[in-house]
Amino acid sequence: MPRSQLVMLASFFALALVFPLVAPYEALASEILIFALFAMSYDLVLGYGGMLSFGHAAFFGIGAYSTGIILIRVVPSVPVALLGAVCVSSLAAAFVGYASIRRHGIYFTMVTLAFAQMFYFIAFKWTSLTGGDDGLQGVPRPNIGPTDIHPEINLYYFILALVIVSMFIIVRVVHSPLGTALQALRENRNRAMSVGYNVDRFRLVAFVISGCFAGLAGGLYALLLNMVPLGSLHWTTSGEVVVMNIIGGMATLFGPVIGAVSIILLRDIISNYTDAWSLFMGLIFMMAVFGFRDGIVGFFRNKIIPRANKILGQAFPRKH
Amino acid sequence: MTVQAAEIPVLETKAVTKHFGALTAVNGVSLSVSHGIQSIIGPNGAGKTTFFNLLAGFLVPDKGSIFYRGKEITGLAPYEISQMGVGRSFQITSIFPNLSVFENIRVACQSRSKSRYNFFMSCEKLPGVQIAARKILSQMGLEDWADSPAKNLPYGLQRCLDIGISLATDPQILLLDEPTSGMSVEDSAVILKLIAEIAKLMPVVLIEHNIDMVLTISDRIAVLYQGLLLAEGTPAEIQGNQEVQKAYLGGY
Ligand SMILES: Nc1ncnc2c1ncn2[C@@H]1O[C@H](COP(=O)(O)OP(=O)(O)OP(=O)(O)O)[C@@H](O)[C@H]1O
Ligand SMILES: [Mg+2]
Repeated sequence: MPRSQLVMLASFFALALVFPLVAPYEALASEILIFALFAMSYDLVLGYGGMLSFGHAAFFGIGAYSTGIILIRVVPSVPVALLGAVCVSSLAAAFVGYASIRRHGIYFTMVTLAFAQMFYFIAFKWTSLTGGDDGLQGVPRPNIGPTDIHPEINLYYFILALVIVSMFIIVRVVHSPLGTALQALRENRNRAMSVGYNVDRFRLVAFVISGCFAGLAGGLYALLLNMVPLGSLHWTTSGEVVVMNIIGGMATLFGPVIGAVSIILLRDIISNYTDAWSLFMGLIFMMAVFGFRDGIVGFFRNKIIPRANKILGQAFPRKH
Repeated sequence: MTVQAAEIPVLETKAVTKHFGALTAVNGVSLSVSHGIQSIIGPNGAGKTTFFNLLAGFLVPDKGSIFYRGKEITGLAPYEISQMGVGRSFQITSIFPNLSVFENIRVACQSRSKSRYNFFMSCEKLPGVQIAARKILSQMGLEDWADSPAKNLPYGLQRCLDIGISLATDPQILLLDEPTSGMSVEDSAVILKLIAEIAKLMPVVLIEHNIDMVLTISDRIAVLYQGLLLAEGTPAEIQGNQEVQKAYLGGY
């Protein structure tokens, strides 16, 4: 792993440790962490795999519902519920991925969206299992071993621990043989095929890994809210995670985290004044697409840092 | 070189045909390659690149079959044919533009690793891959560029990288589609020397427009014309062939 990324991760974790003390309220800090994980998992698909999935809410939502349903109906154990959520959402990702991965460009996007809408519709109609329009109410927060996660601050650190482990794994994935091959086939599909990569298989594995962590993020979301809103499966949730990636900076891993922090904070602030969040979301998206295409991280890396280096270099020339 | 009758060719086509709508781009071409440099020449649109795409699995022939070391590969996917040992480069430079030059080659070497689907280990720990990639990098004279993004390479070196990527897959036979196209005379000479070196290790199928070059470097030459294999033979035979003279060489 490059040193710059290690430094970034370390500073992120240092910030994350004290974050709930400075955040407006603790649950908001937890929500930011959850969406940071969701956005980072999506970076595997969009940034590294070059696949514009518009159905990632499906895996987030399925993770959330699975966690809720297991906790309410099967066994009141958080580890079991989260593990179940990860398995179910990975399976769903394998299913959706298998059906969509052979398509490319806009067709891939449409197929993922269609599947996500299907899951949304099922959750909407299957009221006895999911609570339908009202969402799945009454998701408990049973103790994890001796630890009581009812206090928001305890839940925050539990979430932080899982998010750190997940991010560590995702960073490993990016630098693994599979991750580097994935970037090669994003760069040039024909070339990747002609050197012997089974392109679709790599895309599928990346899609499933991504769905797995999106599901974990969803499971944590259910714990945080004590319920699962139907909106977790809504296409706007898919849209949000796309925007987080684009404004933060795709294929940087750290960018989507920044994107998630900015979007969730901004939504929290704006919602104090108006209900027109989607309008702002649209504006932010347009800014991101037209203004700085490489996202916040790319903006700093390509514009600010070189310029700062230049200014510093002129101010303090190196002695030869 | 003399070809023994009993030898199984490395790559062989039997009457392959490919239509694009009403156009027959490749028309019943039978060709076999065993060693040395087999060039394919022909005017623009003769079907040379299409023929390569058939060999490499990027296109599936409408008729006919293709064999690799006697094993039928017709209809196999490009990655399967590559894994068997057929390497190719592209007429229009085909590299991984935003990856570093080293990574371009490394990722191609990595495709031969059993651990290529591993998603938890560091790719730098793959046994042999780093070393193999460095070797190719220096063979192609690209060491100084190792860390630059491939898109920053000058054009001629991008063509070299394209060949390097193909070599990195440790092929048994190499298909090169106009490797010197758009290159200066000096750069072309470097590439040609390199191709001659490669051809000592594995058969090379070479598409090339420069006739002087083809006549000097090739062991055998095939002439395609409007999808048909017009002639096939040694450079001397091709030069002496009346039909080829009429259709293509025009006075050489
Ligand atoms: N995918 C395709 N769809 C339709 N027509 C095609 C396709 N690929 C090639 N052709 C046509 O098939 C014919 C042969 O093309 P090909 O690229 O094989 O020629 P070539 O011998 O490589 O020519 P050049 O020397 O210009 O590279 C041309 O008329 C071309 O327009
Ligand atoms: Mg051609």
